[in-house]
Amino acid sequence: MSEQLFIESGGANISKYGEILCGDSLSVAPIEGGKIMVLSDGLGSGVKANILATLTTKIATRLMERGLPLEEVVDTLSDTLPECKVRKIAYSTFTLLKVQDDGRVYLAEFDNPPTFFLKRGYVSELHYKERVYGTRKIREAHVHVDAGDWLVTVSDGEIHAGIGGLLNLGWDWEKIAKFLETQVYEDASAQKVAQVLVNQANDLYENRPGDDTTAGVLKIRPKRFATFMIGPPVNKGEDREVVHRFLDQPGRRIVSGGTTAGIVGKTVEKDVIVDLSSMTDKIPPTGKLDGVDLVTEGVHTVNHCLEILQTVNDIDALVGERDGASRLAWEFLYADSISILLGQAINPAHLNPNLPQEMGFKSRSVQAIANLLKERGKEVTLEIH
Amino acid sequence: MRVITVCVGSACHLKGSHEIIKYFQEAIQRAGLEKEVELKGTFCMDQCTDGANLLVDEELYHVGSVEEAKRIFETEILQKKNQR
Repeated sequence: MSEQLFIESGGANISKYGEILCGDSLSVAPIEGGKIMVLSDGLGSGVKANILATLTTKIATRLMERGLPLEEVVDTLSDTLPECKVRKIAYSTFTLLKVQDDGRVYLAEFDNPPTFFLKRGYVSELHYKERVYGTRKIREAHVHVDAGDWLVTVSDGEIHAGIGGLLNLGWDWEKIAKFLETQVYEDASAQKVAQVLVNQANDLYENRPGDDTTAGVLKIRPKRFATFMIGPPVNKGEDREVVHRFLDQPGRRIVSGGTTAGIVGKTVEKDVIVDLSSMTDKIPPTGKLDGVDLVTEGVHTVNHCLEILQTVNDIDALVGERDGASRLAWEFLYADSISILLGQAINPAHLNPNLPQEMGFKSRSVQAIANLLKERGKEVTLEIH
Repeated sequence: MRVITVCVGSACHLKGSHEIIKYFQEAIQRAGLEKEVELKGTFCMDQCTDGANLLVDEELYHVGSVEEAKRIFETEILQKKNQR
């Protein structure tokens, strides 16, 4: 198998001027071996539109999670959505995107602007087939994505941005396509692109959006792996084996703890070089070791890293921070799949009753970090030695 | 070139290695010895129970406070420099 893909998602929206609730709804859910994204624009605006759109995305997401065919999803939607008293129809638009880890994409659209498919930086055409379910015409497309491709779906609030104001006919699909081509560079996150699209629309509306405006972005990229080794194995005899396994892992490699770093250094026959300039009042300095991307001290750095992860969700907030705890947190947020090798050998110095109690809490902090990362949707494996 | 190596591992960190490093940084600068004394960090000297640990060249010291570090700097670095 070639390199594994990861589907990174991002979403942003603004409400029509004067409305508190957004009448669009965007939902992203992981499924076995992939991800689904559903965007719906509810009829009208405000609370009614919000309810219609939310119901649509929720129902569609749930049914697709269970693998139901599109036909049934559409039927269920038209059967269950409440009817608008004024217009006598149960109506909301939708875009359904199902992307699988092997690159297969299924797309279905009903009355939403066509999805933007960017391949190697350029908007590329999707070959739609039309299908009619009752009174509804639905566009469907199958496409294959590779790392570097993007799928961007927007509500018509984006397309109409600036209409009758800054732009006579609004932003329009073709112009958004050109704009997107300038935004989807490799380092841009899906969330950033979604935010940029919505901000741009808001600017075109001169901060008074004429419609609910939403962007949902899927970025297809190679999956990012990280392996985190902390603490020496209880059984000294396992040192070499655990270190070799650590060094064989794909992706980024991180070691925490002085003794642990020493063991790794001994195995690769290189010295750990401490970078004193990265030291702060609270956090001991980081180190450098050939073949390892980050070396930090153990318990203090990990405890601080946990504190950071509890408050910071946006990886960009950590860029430029040089202390060990922030860099460790950055590594965790950057990776999609993290394997943790936790050694539970006890450092006798840490049992000293004069030391603060938290010295003994290293394992607990590591487990708390693992749980936090899982909650954020990351794959985490924890192996205890 | 003389080398002072201070341990910055967990236990030594708690026992004040951070302040000790700060002290050495200032002391080396004050004495104008940047070209003659190198200050380095290391992660673990396998002496965690006796920290904070530091090496002056090859010699190991267990240092409980900045005052002790000061004494070592005066006797090991400043005095020996004058002797030469």
